[in-house]
Amino acid sequence: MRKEVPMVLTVLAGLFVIVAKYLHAVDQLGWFTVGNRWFQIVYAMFFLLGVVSLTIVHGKNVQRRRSKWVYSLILLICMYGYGILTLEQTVDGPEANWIYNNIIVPSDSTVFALLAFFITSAAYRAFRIRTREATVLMITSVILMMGTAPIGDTIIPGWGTLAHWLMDVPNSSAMRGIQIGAYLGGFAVALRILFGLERAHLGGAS
Amino acid sequence: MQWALDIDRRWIWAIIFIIIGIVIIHPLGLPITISPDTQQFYDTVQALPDGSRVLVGASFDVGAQGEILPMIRAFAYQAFAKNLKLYIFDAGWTNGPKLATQVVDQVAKEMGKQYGVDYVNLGYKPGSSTTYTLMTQDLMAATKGVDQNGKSLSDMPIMQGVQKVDKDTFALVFGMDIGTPGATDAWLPLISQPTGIPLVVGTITMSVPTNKPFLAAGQYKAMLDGSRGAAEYEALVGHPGPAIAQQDGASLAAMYVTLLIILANIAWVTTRKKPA
Repeated sequence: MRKEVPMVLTVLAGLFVIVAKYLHAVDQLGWFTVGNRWFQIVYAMFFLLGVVSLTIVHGKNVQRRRSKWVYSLILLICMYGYGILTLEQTVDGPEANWIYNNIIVPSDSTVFALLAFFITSAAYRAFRIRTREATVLMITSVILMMGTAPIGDTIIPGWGTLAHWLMDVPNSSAMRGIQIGAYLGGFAVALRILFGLERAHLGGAS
Repeated sequence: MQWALDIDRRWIWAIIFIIIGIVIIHPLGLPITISPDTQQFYDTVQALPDGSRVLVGASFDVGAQGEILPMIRAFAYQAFAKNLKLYIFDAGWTNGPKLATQVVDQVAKEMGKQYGVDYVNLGYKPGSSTTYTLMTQDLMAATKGVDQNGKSLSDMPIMQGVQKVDKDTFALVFGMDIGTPGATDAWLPLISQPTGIPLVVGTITMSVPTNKPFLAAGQYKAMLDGSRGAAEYEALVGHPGPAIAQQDGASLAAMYVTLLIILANIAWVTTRKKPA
């Protein structure tokens, strides 16, 4: 029953959306809009689920003084502290905004900016002309890298145009093929879930 | 040349840190040419009738703000100059609407525009794809009738006559794309295509390859390609800003990485053992 009930619910929900959305007569009844409102409420509940889950996992870490339990404590203080603060002040309250703009934004930006350093050293180690394919990849990336920055056109006029052509023609063609394949694959998986053939999302093997 | 292969990567990091630091302090001012994509974006916005409504899809997070916020800033200058009404919203990225509104607030202050009259932050509302769809059916239901800070939307002049996102009400959607959900899986299939509202997109450099086919197919009316696109757009609207300032750093970083690749390959070719 632990698998059958969720599977039946999945199939019913899928059929509901298809009938409500694609049958014009049913669409007029407004079921689809009602279904969307329900989903929005259920989706919001996921956040609560996340908070409960984090509290249980990290609460146990703190309670049992597991290794690095201090980080778990910091996480819980931040999560509940900021949550209570924004509930009291709204997200644009003075203290909430200060914490957001001076701690959250710089921390997140710093982590993302670290990519620049790793990409530089990765490019140094990875782009080697070992094979013909690797050589094409290396040349293309250099053309694009220099062409998307103003320096390309400054060194050789027209470099930017070449970079644009690479993006517009070979890239678009290849990407279109990949995307069509991915969407067809997604559609096939959706059908398999709807027919109850795909059960991996219920846990265990499909 | 073995030294080049064995070089400590911290030296590589230190040099790029110094290079970018120098150009931030002393900009080179390299000329920026306008690409057809950016010109098309500018022309599409410019062609909108004065006072039109534009839905700004703030699908981005803090990590992408370096590339996306300059686009929104420049867009706000162009939009407010045409008295366009901006509705900032997202259902997938919790930080996007807040970050976008902070930038729009600054431009609005400069141009004498008012919150609730000329622009509104409909906020982040949970539900992802379902909420985007709900926007086209019942905007008040999708937003729960309140803005980001819980203020009633029905009291705001900007919301008068706005029941849902449709072609009669909105003239344009400006959607961002940095991942999922974004322009390819939310603003295009759930908002633009069902309603027929034209879509223009702003994307980070990393997502340009994914988005290009949609632009080529005409499903996007126009697109800003990463920080370079943002810099070109800033130049077009006549308000140079952070994106233009980034371009010198991007130029020198690109040149540095290119030189590193050349050095690494020379070292590799000269030191590799020939097969017996």
